[in-house]
Amino acid sequence: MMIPTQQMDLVNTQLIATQQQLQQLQERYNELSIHHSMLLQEVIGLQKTVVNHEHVMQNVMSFLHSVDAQRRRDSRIVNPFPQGGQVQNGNIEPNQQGAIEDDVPASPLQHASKLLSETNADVMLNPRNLEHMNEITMRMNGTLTTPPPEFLRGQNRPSSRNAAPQSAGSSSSMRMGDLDNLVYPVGQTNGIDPMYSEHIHNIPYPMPTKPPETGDARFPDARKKSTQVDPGWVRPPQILLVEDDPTCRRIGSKFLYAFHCSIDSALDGLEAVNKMNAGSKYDLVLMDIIMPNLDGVSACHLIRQFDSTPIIAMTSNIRSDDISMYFQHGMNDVLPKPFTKEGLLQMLEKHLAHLKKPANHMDGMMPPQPLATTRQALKEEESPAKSPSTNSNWNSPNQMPGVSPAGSTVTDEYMQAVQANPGVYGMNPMQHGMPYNGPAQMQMQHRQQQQQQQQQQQQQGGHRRQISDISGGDDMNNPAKRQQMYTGPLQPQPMNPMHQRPR
Amino acid sequence: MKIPGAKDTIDEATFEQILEMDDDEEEREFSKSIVYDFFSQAESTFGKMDGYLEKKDLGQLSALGHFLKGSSATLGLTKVKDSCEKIQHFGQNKDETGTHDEPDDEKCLEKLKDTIAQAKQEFYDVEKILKKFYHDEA
Repeated sequence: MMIPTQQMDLVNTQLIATQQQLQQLQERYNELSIHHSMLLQEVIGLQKTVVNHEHVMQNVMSFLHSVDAQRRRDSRIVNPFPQGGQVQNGNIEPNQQGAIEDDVPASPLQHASKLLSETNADVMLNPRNLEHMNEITMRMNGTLTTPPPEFLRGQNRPSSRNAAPQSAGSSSSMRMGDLDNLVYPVGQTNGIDPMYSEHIHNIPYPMPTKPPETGDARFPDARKKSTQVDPGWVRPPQILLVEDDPTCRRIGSKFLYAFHCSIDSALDGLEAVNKMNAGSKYDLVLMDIIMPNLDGVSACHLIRQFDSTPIIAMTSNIRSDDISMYFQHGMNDVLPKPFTKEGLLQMLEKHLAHLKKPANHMDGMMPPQPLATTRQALKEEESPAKSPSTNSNWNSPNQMPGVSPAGSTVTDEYMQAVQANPGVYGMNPMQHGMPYNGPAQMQMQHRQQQQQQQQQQQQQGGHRRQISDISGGDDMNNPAKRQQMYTGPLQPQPMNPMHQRPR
Repeated sequence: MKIPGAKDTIDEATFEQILEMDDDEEEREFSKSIVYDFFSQAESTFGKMDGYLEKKDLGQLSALGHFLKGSSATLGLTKVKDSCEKIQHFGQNKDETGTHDEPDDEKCLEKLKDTIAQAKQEFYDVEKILKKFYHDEA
């Protein structure tokens, strides 16, 4: 099958663009989840303050009550019946009114305590929910994904697969696999692999310029085979290890070295800030917290003023308020001390996923695609396939084995989401500026353009197909299918969610 | 257990992952140098602790406790680590678990004196075991 170079180039650029967008999305996602956890912390803090104020108010109230009671007693003793005279100005003083009737507290006080009991912060604010949410976020961020060493040793760095960035990666790679299937029907190796490591250079990531400054000057060959753990980096990650304790520093360096990283070290926070301020670029910073001259949290705070390199706190102080403080000052993660090789590697893989070679334990990033699948796709692609049955095959999740290996649950969710929101599905290639892929509000235009599109397709034949044509175009030619695709979004959806809300 | 007599004093898994980094199982150049560096680090830290005990400087004692806690934990020297953690807490005017305040400086100093002595003893015990392991019994 001949593929015109022009078309290949076009597809290639589209893929690179898509990949960049995915990278940006992922960065954005990470950023947002950090913001989210920070906001959560803030809200929880605020709630605590409110509850404290509430208690203060209650204390004030009880004090006022006692003062009030005291005064009532006094006034009864000194002047038992003066109140009758005051009614004449038509304005009964509330506390005196209270004193007449059965010695109850003054009514402003009553009012206040009623208000207080109605708006009892202890009852109204339920910090549990937020704390639960917070915990989930923490776990997603991997704060708690690094189990204590005792727990970790039993298993073979398991949990990071389920951590948030990876799952985000796998869902995005779903699109990648999707595209791959659709665009390269001739087979995975024939054509441009979107995950081919060379493309990484097209991704706008900071590329460290600093030469490796590793203390160990041995060649890779000299490394002992049994301790070799090659995570499969595209290039050696540049790590800055900030640690005042020589023992921890040496062991940390040794582990990092075994993981094929280039290591630079700083003895305290001040040195780290100076190094980074002087322009040294790193892929990751491992930061001790308690250090002389400048502690890790302050150093991180300073570094965040000019740099966004991931910073991981290495510390034995991992109480939840400590951890939230680390996050508040811009730390990205926490590696509990004493760290293990596995824990360290997990951190590296989590935060340096963009430096990994695609083929190396990257089940999340790149679904292995059996050739048979692409063949199947090829058949469907080659035949004009306008009959409804084949078309329905195209979108049915069960008929798309090519995307499933990345994790069946994710696939199902994704495909269900696709089916539930056909508009969104049609929108996907919008990033390439195709006019007929507008948002749901543009459905009317969408239809017209789509008719034009049909004509174009008839003119072009199968020759100059584009991704979106292949993913959605055939279906759109089928009236029945189109019905199914567009009835949903045509309903006034933006209003519905508002009405459906209980309050 | 690779190290004879190290039960309870050394966390096997932690120490073994350092031993794994040795290129040669006979020479054990890497782990040996780390362990011996730790010995001198601990000696000098205990020396400083004695000085600050004299000066009754709780803050410095706490900092030194934390410092030695980090490296002993990294090597898996469990007992020394636990004592260092207590030193850290007492120095912060806390009880030994770090959960309750102990505002009485004199009490804290008294406990610090005991705990530092205990940490020293635990350190010398584990030092002996490790030196034996590295065939250096002199």
